[in-house]
Amino acid sequence: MRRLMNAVMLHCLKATYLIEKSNDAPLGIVEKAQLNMHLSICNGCRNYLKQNRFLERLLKRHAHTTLTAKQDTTALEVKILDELHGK
Amino acid sequence: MVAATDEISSWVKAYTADLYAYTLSKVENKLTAEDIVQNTFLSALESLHRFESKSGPKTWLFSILKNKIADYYRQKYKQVENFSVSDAADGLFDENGRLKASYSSIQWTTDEELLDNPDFIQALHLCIEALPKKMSTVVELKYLDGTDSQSVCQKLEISQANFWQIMHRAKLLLKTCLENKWFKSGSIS
Repeated sequence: MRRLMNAVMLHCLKATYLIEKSNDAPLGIVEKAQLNMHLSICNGCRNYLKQNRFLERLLKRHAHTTLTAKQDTTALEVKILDELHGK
Repeated sequence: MVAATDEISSWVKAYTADLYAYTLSKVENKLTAEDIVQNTFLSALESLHRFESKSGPKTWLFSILKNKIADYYRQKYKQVENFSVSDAADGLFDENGRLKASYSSIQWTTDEELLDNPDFIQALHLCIEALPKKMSTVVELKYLDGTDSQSVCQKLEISQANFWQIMHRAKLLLKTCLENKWFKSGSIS
């Protein structure tokens, strides 16, 4: 029975992989069932699922954020204008 | 083409600072950032006839800029030595593939405000930077203006499975890094 369980059950390494994959593409029926079964008995991965979704939202936000303070770009602007007028 | 140059020139004065600041936070290197911004304006001049004023010049310039930044990441990815992704974040799992308790039990207090907390975002930025280059370039490319993964895979010439593998490990590393930098210390700034 144990061997069968091990064959059917995912371990966390695979489960966390599926969690990540599901951000991008829908899981197949079998994958979905396996993941749900694993999540029903694994606190750690349930926790990870929440964290992963949060990270997804955070990273999507991050795409739009500028972290650097506004710099003095006067010199760069002159350089670009020179280049443009040279054309 | 005097009129076109005049138009672009006014945009140079209006938007260079914003474009540069954004680029610098993505590419780290000042000279590279300058080149990218400069090339953005040159491209804009060449394709000005395609610009429709309803979207606003800033948005349009930013979309050209992001394409150039994407090209930069793609080049960087190709330059970086090949790296075995499958080892990354291995330390989080025991020999049976189970998450170790020390990593699985940390709770994140994730409220909405955290998403806009500049200190937290800074921590995220540092954590992305701390990733192996082969992985950080993929992460940056993927989240650069919601690039869909298929076009990321095409640009980097990797398979989707490979992409998911990289993202899987990257997210695990980001998780532990953020826990070290933020969640464990119980920062309530």
